[in-house]
Amino acid sequence: MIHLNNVTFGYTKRTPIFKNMNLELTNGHIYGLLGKNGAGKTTLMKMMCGLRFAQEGTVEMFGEPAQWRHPQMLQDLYYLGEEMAAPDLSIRDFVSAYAPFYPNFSQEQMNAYLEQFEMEGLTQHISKMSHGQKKKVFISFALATNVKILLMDEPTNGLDIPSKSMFRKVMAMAADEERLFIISTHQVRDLHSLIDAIIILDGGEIVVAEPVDAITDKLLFKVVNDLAEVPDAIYSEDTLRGIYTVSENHTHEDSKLDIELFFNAVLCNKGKIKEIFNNL
Amino acid sequence: MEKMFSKDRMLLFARSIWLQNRSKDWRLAIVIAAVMAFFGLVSPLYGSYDFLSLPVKVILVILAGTTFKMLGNPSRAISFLTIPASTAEKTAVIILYLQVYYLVGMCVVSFVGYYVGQLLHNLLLALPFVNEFFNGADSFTAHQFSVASVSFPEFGNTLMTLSVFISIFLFGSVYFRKNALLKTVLSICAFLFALFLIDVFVFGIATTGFGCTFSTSKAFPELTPWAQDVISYGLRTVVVLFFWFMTYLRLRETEA
Repeated sequence: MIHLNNVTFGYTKRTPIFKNMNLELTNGHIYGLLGKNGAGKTTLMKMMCGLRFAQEGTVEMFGEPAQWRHPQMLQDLYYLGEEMAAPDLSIRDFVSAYAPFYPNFSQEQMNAYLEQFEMEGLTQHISKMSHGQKKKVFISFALATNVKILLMDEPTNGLDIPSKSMFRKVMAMAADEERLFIISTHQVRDLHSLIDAIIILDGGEIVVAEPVDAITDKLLFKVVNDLAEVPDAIYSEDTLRGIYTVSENHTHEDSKLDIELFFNAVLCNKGKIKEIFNNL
Repeated sequence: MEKMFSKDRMLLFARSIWLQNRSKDWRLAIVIAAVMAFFGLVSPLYGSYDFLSLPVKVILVILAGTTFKMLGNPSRAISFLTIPASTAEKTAVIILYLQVYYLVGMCVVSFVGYYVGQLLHNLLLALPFVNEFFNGADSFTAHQFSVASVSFPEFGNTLMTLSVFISIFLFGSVYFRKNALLKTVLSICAFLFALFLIDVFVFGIATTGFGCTFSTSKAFPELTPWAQDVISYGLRTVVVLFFWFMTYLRLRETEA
């Protein structure tokens, strides 16, 4: 569904953000897109919906270059930015204006999602809502479009604690085998239970793009009292609960992925992680 | 071609723009009608009303020059560019909005406003104490309202020139991300100044030698009025089409 082939991009020619980046993403997954500030997460998502053009290489969505912004591509793709322009329209008019562009839009789903978010009254003007309320409307709309590819940039920013749990609930309701979601976030704990594949961007390249199962198959996440118990630890963090470690899973032992720990391990020991995932 | 140009999508896009702007358009219409009513109320009798009056032209040019203002705001630019309609459809709808919807709307609203102002003017004068108060003042004498008979060659000529300016300002609004209107005005001034210099120093040399006079016309042979009309309309049509196409190209290359 999404194919990046040798993509190079930079806001200036001298300082590329991405260098010869390759990536292949398939439907049926909720990808968590992780990276440090300025790593290029938002830029990557913008390139996927044709809002930024690669200097070299191609970004293909559904087999067509994203930068063409063909209506056929756009009607099966929705980009929910971190900051969305709030139109001077009621929810009802917003839906009436934009839903017809999306052939699979469902008003019933929209109402159900809004209900989940405890948003009442379709006559409320979006521009007069709080940041969190606007976000709920846009998330509900984005999910109700039933597009095949949904790109979300920091969707939980601005949501209060109960709303974050509602967000996970509506995302779980909307996910299916036909769709592909990419969620860029720094709040990994908000989405821990939701994400089933991880993409980590660092230093202008994709270090890891793997399903969670593949990660736990190759890496072991363990809490120990003494680091000597894990002599081949790739990364460790000393906490009050013990020492959190990441090591190579030679014994195919089951463990639960700790996304934050994994992310830090990738940043600290990129070479080793790439070697493990055969990305070298 | 069918992929990139669909009548249904164009209608959807036009409808979304209408829904998005309708309250703003209503406010604008009320302001224009009020201003024109004021003019109608206080101005002396024109003798006839011109549909393409200066305020209408200025407002249309301002609207054209601010059409793509949203591209200067990243989140609004994203919303606009990711609407599932092709760039050709978006450009065509925006041109139709400016050249038809706003043009007709502005003409109607300003006419109605002016007419109401003139009616008020005459009604007020029917009151004895008002008549007495303004006795002798030119701007407060009762008059018959009339509309200028539309001379189509003249109207077409004005409309064509207006379309040239609308197309240039439309392109300016997509070309310049910030302060597009001002930058377009400055660009036009710079262009006209360059033309002036070329006229004086290039054609001037060819025909009359150095001198600070407009001399381009002297460099070309005299043309019949018919030929002049054809060239004039033809050139303006080419300019309009050129800037529409440039707007489309620029929009297609726009990133957010």
